[in-house]
Amino acid sequence: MGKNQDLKKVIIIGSGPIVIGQAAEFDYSGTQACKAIKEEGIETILVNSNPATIMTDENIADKVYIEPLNIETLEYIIKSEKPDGILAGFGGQTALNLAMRLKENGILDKYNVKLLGTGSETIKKAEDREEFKRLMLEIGEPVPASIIATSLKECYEFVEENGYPVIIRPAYTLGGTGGGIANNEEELKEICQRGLINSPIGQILLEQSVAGWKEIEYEVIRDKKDNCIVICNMENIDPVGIHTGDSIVVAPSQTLRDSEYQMLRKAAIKIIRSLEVEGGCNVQFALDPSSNNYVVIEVNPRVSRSSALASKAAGYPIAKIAAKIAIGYSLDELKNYVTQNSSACFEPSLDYVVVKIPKWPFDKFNRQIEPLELR
Amino acid sequence: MKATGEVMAIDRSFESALLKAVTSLEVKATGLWLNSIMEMSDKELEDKIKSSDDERIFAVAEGLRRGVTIGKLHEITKIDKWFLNKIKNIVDFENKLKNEKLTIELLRKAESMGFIDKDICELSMINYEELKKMREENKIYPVYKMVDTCSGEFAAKTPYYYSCYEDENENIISDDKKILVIGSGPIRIGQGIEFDYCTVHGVWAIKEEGYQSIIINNNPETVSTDFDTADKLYFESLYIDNVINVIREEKPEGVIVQFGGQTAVNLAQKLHQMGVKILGTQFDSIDIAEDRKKFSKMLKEIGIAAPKGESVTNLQEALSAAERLGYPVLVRPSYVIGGRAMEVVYDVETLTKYINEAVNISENRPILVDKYIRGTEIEVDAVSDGEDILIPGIMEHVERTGVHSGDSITVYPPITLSDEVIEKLIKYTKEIAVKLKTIGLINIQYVYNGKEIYVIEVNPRASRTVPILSKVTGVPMVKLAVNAMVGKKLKDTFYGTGLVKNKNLYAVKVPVFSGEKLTDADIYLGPEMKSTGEVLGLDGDFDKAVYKGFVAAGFKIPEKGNVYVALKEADYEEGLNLIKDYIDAGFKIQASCGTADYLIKNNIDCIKVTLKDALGNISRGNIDLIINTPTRANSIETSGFKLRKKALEYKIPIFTSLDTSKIFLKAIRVERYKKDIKYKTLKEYLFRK
Repeated sequence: MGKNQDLKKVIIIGSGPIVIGQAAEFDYSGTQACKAIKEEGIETILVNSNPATIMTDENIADKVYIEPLNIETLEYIIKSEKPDGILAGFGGQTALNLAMRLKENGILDKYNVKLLGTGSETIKKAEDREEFKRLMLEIGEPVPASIIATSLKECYEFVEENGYPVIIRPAYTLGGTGGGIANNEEELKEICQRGLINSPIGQILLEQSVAGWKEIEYEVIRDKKDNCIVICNMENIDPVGIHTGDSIVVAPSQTLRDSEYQMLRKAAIKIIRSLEVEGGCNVQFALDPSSNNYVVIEVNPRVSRSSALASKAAGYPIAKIAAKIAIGYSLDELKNYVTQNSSACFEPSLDYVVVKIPKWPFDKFNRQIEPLELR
Repeated sequence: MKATGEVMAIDRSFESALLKAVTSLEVKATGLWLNSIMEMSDKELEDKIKSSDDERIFAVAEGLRRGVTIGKLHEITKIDKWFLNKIKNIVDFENKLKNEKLTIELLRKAESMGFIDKDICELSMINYEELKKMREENKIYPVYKMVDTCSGEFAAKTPYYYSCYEDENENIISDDKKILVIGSGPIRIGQGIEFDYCTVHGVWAIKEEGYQSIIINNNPETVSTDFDTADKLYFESLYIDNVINVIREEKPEGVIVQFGGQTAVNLAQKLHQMGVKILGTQFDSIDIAEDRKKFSKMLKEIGIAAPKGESVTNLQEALSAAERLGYPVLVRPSYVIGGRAMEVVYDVETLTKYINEAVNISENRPILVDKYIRGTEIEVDAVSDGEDILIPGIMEHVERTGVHSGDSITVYPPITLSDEVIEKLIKYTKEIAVKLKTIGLINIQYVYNGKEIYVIEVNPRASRTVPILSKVTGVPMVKLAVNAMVGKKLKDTFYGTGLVKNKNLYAVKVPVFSGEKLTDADIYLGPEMKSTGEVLGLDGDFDKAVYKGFVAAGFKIPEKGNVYVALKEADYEEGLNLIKDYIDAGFKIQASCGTADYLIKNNIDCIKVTLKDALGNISRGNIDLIINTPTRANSIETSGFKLRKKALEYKIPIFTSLDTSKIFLKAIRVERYKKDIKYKTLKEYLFRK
């Protein structure tokens, strides 16, 4: 199969300024993506407003636009550059949201631009809570009881049925901005109101809490031939209840039995296959420490902070391989760039332990008023 | 999520990987103990463990030290008992080191568990020289393992290593000439991705010069730790022990500390003392730039002015220093990153409060009190070869002094400076760079008050502005710095010396704050940096560049509507013209009580709205923009803070400086008459005719 020969010119969307929840990891993934595509002889056009990045350097992409990341700018650039494809899976939630809006506004179709890698249907299924839940139930993967609410009334009704605590998460926001855990009516009201405002589409997810369960992540790659491999799994030392970005994380997982590891691995692969992700994907599970029960918490159909960590932890360049898959290659056609002589299809194995600890800005901001964000 | 960045550590056991990661954090701890937690009562400790904040791991370790059972800790934290047992292993080993004589065997075990030398010395109560001797005599050094993706199952050669204390060394050491670059560690406020940019460019330039490039860093998010960036990557803590171990193993020609931010520069002294060759600006020069007394003496020698200041060690001294200098004064602790705990103080009362509450002050931890000079802040970055300098461009801050350079809107090229001032800036920069024997990059911040130019700060290293200037001027600053370090002269390069002619474009850097995440932080502009990132607005037209900067930073730009104004008294007079400009632009004014009275007295039409009512107006969508210059910040109880927080929640532009509010008018005008906005590649701007 190999590279898609129709692709002569591709736009890559960056992640914009460094904010909490979207940091240097997208300079890393974006730089890798640019290099991986450029070396195939495809003209690369990069758009990013962040001047401190390496990806906005003259020698990374063929053309660099340091311009605001919004629909207007992107349409202008699409119009003048006439690219064949657009790559949105390497610039975090910012890039993914922009690509979805370009698709919905008909701009991609109007200028005949293909969304490369994971398709818009898949992104929608993974990002839209309702659709995601439906798909999970369809394939028999457990998810916590939840509803999508667009009003406070629906929130109250859900709690009446399922009880406290409940987790509230606004749809389409960076790393869950404006979410939290409500233990009583007062908190419920406050967090839901805030979430409804913060979500660009005015939707929030209310979910039964699985706080205290083990939080386990799998980094998976899939190609369009349906080859799937697990790059690395990771275990949060802090159980569900603390955002994974604020958790101490260890790779590979240390406290799972082999049967548990295999159960979740199988589930991760089943999920990425049913979503038909083409490229990198992060699947987060909550595992009940006292039974074999687990639930799927979240799926990110793109490279993420976790995949940057998994890349470095496993020695496997996830973004680079995901970019190659986006332009048509399959895993069996690619080699492992680290070892040079094995296939990219080969799952890494680790003979060491990796620990990640977050760096917090509490030297600047008072700590007593800054408990870690719950989810 | 509240973390700005992360560190990663690789090792053979969980215990050693955890301890290595802790030393990578650059916090007060190198092991699992923090003094503030060890001083807690049992009750306080239990609350701390329950609160699940960033210090929980230290609190859990302290709990184990005090005999709290693993069962109890698991019940409170739900952390798996396996992890708790591992933390207990570390705590038990601390006791072993305390109670047993340090034998060679015990030292080996301590090293392999991840304890650093300083902590082993402290626990075992031996001095460092003894430890060093034990290490040397018994060759107790780490070996390096390869991250080969296959656990050694196949033959693989990767240039990606981590240290551990075992027997077999997998490290392949080449005989080539090598240069080691020290990275900047985790992303944090005040030390961001720009230093990764510099590190990576440093590596590329080293390769071009024909050396093998080696990098040490611990941040998994970055390009510098990609395994195909440098010829060799050590994924290691940037703690001095770990860095020295790599240097012992590799024996590089030299080490570069000026690209890795303050993290790397802070290692310079120890590296220098241990006889490691530092490439570029030497430790003695770094020391002069960072030591107040030596620095003022140097400036005096070359006849360049700096704001007068004193170093004080108690309240009495602080008050009399401020008296001598005259208020307002700028106060801060010495040796900090990103203006931490820095404040402009206008009166005795605030100064007393600052000294008593905000900072630790003692003989060893002096506070710096400087005369605050209000004026235009100017940033000059240069490459120096020791004799000549090259300045790719000068940047001017929109906000006057008192706002941290990382948080101010910064403009290239300067828009208000006369040729005469620029000539002087070039002259001063050269004099300082040469006097400091700078080889490589230097960043100097100046203030110009309309009469005189003062030097505020000199950083003998890469700065936040290096990537921006390199891009908008086309001058590869980091590469030229590396060239200078290996002995090349600027005058022999294509770029020459002096100030590069301004490019035919405007670049406006706008800071971005993570206010939505840091919901309890007060994001007002002050001398302490709070922004996490930045964007750049580029255009051939200045107003459009300003507009693009604000748009890229995520501002919704109102074309018309209501402006809510709440100013501190000192700003009334100056605020008057600004408010008139907003009225001329078609906005209606709502103002807080004091401000409204003043405006009405000056015949300006406005509605009086208390801060409390303003909150309601925000929720109802009746306010489109806020100008609020705070009297006193840092307290979450003030109504000003609530106003700022509410504005952030509703995504309404809020400015805490008159200067930002003023320049925002340009963006408003562009938004209103939006036409002809073009988006171009960097090259098209640079080579525009």
